[in-house]
Amino acid sequence: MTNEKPYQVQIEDLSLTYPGGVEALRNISLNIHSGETLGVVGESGCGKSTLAGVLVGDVPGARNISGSVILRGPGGSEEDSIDMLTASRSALRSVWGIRVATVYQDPQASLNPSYKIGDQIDEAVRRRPELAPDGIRERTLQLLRRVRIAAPEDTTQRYPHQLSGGQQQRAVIAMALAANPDLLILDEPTTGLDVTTEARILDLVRELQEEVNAAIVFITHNLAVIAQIADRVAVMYAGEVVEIGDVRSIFHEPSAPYTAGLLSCIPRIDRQSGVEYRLRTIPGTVPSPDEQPEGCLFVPRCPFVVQHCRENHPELFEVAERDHRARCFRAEEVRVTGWPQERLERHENGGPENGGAPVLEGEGVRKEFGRTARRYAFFGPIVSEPLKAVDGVSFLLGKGETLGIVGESGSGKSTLLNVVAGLEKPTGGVLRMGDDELEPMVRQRSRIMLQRMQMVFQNPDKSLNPQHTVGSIMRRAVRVLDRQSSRRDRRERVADLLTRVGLGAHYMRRKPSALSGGEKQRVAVARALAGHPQVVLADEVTSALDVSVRAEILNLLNDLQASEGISYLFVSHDMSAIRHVSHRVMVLYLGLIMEMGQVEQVFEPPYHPYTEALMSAIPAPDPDVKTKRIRLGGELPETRPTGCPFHTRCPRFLGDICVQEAPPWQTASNGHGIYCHIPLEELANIPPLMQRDGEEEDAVAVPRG
Amino acid sequence: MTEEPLPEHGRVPGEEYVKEGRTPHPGLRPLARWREFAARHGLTVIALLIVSIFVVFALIPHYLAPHPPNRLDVASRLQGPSAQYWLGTDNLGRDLLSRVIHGTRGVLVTSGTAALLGVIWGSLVGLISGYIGGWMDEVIMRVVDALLSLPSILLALLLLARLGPSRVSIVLGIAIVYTPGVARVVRSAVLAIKNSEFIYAARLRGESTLYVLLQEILPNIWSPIVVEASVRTSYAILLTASFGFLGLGVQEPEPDWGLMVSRARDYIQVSPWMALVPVIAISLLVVSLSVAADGLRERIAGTALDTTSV
Repeated sequence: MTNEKPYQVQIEDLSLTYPGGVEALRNISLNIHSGETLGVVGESGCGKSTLAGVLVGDVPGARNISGSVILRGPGGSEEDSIDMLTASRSALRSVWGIRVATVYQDPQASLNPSYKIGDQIDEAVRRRPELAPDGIRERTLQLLRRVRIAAPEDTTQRYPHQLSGGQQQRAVIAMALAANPDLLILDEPTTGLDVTTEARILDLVRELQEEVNAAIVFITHNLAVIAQIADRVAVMYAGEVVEIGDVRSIFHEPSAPYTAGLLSCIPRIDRQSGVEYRLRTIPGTVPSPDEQPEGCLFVPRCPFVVQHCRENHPELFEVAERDHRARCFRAEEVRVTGWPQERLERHENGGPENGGAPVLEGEGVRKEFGRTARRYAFFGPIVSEPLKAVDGVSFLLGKGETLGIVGESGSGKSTLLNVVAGLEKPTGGVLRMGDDELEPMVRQRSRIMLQRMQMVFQNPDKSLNPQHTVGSIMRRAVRVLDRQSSRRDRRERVADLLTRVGLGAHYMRRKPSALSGGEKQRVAVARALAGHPQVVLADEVTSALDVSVRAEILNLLNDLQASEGISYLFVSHDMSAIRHVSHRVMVLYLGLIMEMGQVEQVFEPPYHPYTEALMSAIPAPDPDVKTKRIRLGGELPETRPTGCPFHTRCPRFLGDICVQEAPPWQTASNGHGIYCHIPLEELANIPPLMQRDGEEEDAVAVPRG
Repeated sequence: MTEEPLPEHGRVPGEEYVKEGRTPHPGLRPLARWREFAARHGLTVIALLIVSIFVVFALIPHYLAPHPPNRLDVASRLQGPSAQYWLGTDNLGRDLLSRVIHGTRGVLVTSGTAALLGVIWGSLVGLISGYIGGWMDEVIMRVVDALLSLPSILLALLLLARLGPSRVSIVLGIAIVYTPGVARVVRSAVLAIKNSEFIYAARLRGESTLYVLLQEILPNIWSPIVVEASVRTSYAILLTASFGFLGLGVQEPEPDWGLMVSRARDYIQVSPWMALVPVIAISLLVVSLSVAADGLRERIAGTALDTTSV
């Protein structure tokens, strides 16, 4: 086991305070073995990034740091040990980039935009020229090959903006590996990337684990990523490590209530879930770091709390074997019983009313950006064609139904939603609500139409005007959309709406800056409900939220659907959220529908190769479940390829027919259609994606083009 | 479903704040905040003090000036400071201090009104141009570019030549000169928040363009506008004085700082006081106003972080 390996990093009783008494880290002690990957997980505000800063001895603005962070020499040797907290600036400089390397979330910010990639990596290589016996550039090319960049020579000559996000992140990782560091810190390295790109970067990290003997610290908020990548896991809550142990024991027998809660509130793609089930949630929010309660920090949110917890602060107690420790007095009970079941109930949601008239209908909706440009204004060869963001999409949305729309960024899903909302002018197609045709632009639509359709947005920080109070935001919505004439009626209606989304009337006086992300999103939902809408357009509403908050919002949307019969167009890149809330699913690629059908139909074979690849990209939140690796090569093409638009990246590419002919729309079963040349029987025979350990069998696609 | 009682451990999110009677952002009280600010920005405080002295001059010159501004004392022409005339006298024997004090109101009102008008017009143009966009934005911005490419003093002179010398023409001239610059600043602030989702939400409610501009956008771009107004005011003082100097503003015998400098030209060899006093008054006011504006900008930027971080 990893335990026999020597320590690479020893953190002893580390505490860190920011000005104003904000305790960002509290008494952290942990060891990282050389050659192991320690996953650090927690929601925002739990101190993960501060910990990353401490590991490199650089936390700007920290007021008090106590304890020690010892980085040992290569392979964990005692000599060359350095305490990152007390070391001088110049000593640190001789460690940075050589013994410790960091990869941050945004690769664009890590690369200098005005130097070529090759020159930037050369510079990192030059720190340890002894590793480059064949010359600096040769080593740079080796590194680029090591991070699986397809054309290394070509890439060295490019500037950062000429690379895709995934390639940029690979280049940053290459730079971090340049000096063979003893400690590699990956701070949310995949968070800004598309699911399919994320999957490939994670593959890379997994391969590097085998090759590099460094201790890797992998920081993320995504539990599923941790499950797939870490050897050991440290769960952080409010600046403390609340649980630490082997990845399997953490995921199978979580013993700190916080871990148990987190694990139970992710929608699972690999298990039975769906609209009819409520997700479990963790009530409340992470305490603000300036609070200093006496007992356990998790008391306000914990279902296991007893009087003892309120008065005493728990240690990290040993649970079971395997070096598994949890900060809870009742860890043993938590391990056995798990997060309370009471919230895992079925919704009393009958689902969509089948057979009724659709509330919203789109027919051949198109949206093009730009126009045809010719070499000499009106004459000459065509230089560029308009970009077809949405190309003839038709759909029906029944009452009380959720239509999930999924695809990578650039697939046209958000554009489709904006066109339906009337924020973008469509190039063609018809939208109908009930029997009435919808005007294309929002300003042409009648008030009744506006009332019937409202929208909730992705970014909770931007969806409420920061200068208005919650009350005035809500009153305005009620006044305009609900036509409540008297001041008192409006007030009552606002209070009622806020209560319905799980907030109270006391929120009215607050400004958005005083709300958490989840609370803001609840207000945004309440605002959308003001006019009793029939349809709510949800644009990536959960992607900016933390795990536990995401579950709450998904439950809220489902509850509201059950009680008010609202229909949703739910756009997301998150397949598991889509699976959880949708009745039917539409898979978009380059503005075209690849597959559409009932949620069970889409998530079971036969599926479109694109759907299959999207599903395969999602890491399963269970270290024993391995998803079959089907990886999309290359990036989303800029212009649509001929024939089947997906043929340039398709892992199940047939041959010329895919290049030359547009595929047929094959109807698999009732309402389930697939846009592909491959016969349905063949697609139906594809084995399932998720496998328990031991039966792993990769079908790695060879990217072409 | 929704009415189901929360389990014992359940809490409405954020409820704890209310129970404990504390706000999530427990700021200092306003007075204490100002005190801390003053301690850190001594210069700003001094500047504010000087500006307020001038404001008092403008409000009640008759109580403060030792002499009537236009009383001639031919016996003591072109004198330096003395017990009777603290800052000396001009070529007609009028008290310089009294004339400066009486001239303050004219300068402050003219430049203040001009800057205010310029900022209002500029904000309107910037709001419309930034929010509506399209060809309208294109046309407005080209006109703005054209106006900005002319030196401001030249442009104002052209306008004044057309309007004739008077206080009103100076106000209008300066306001017109300032409009394009302000419009640019406001437009870029509008562009930064125009695609925020709360604006989309307002459009989806069917709100009018006017409502969106005034209720949704304007409150979020107050800080650049306020800063713009304060900086523009101090420059407007310089412009006003320049026009006075060129004889395009008010005429004798009204006490006007620019005019005083202009008259002093002929006597600069005999008595430098006659020129120095109004010049120092101009510089003191301009410098204090811009230092105060800088401090103000810092303060707004500091507090704006938690409210306007759109």
